[in-house]
Amino acid sequence: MNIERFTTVLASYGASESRWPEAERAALADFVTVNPTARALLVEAQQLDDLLDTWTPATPAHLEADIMAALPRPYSERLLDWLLAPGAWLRPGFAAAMMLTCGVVIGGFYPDGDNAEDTGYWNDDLALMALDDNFDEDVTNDN
Amino acid sequence: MQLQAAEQTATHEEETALVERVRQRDTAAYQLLVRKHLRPLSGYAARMLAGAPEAEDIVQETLLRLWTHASRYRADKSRLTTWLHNIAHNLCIDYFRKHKRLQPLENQDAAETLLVTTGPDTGQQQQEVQRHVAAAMMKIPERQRSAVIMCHYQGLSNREVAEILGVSVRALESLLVRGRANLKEILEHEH
Repeated sequence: MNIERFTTVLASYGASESRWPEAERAALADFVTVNPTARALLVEAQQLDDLLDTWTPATPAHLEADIMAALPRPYSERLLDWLLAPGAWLRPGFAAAMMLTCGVVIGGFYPDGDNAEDTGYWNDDLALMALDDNFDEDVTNDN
Repeated sequence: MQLQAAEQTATHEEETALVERVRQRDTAAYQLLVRKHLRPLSGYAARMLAGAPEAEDIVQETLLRLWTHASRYRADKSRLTTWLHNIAHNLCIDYFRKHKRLQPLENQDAAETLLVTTGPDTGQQQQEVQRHVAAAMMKIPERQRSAVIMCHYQGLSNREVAEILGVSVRALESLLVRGRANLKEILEHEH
């Protein structure tokens, strides 16, 4: 160890031994005890360290919760949480109403027995009724 | 010295096991790691950005990447804190590139932001000193700033900081010498 290397270490890492390169720490500490110039340099470096040490930003209290809340979660879990959120009692009903509406809309695309465009069946029925002399209007209306 | 090294080794092994659990999507293990590393990372980002609100975003993104990219962490290459600081450092550099140069704390809003981040119980005189230190830190180049912050505040070794910055230890010391000299000159001039 020499004064040049000691000076460089102080200028780089400051006066605290814990920040000095681990491999040189013991040699640096010994050098301070035997070299008055080194001790003076140590005092000078400590002044900047003391100023730097005054700066202690606080960690925002909400940050941990924010980080945990931001974790990507499976879609099924998020949907369930949304439906069952406290105070959101309308959401399950809304979801059911949406499904019902979708069912009605989709069902409207499928033809049923009362479709006015499907007249082939009724034409045959009417033809048969016309051929029957005992045709009863009341019975027809019940159909 | 041997006890400290043994403690560090045990901690490294414990963290490696927790990271493995994080890879298996264990949120409890993840939360333990978040609690351990939140404060130092928050301090690093806050000092790099002089307490700007975006520092919280950087911390959040850094720790979120622990969840999404846990498979990329190599325990045989580095400590977890080194890996996380590497991410935070790169995010800070990206931020500076997007926002060009951060302005020094010259306006009242920025100064008040710094006061908030340092806590309400800090004395007025100490707050003033902290403001000067923060302002001085903002006036030195970003690489010097990152080097000084990581070596002085973050408990990283010179080898770890050199690895994060992608330089040799000698080059790191050159950055530190210039950074600390600049800080000293600025602070002496202002006092």
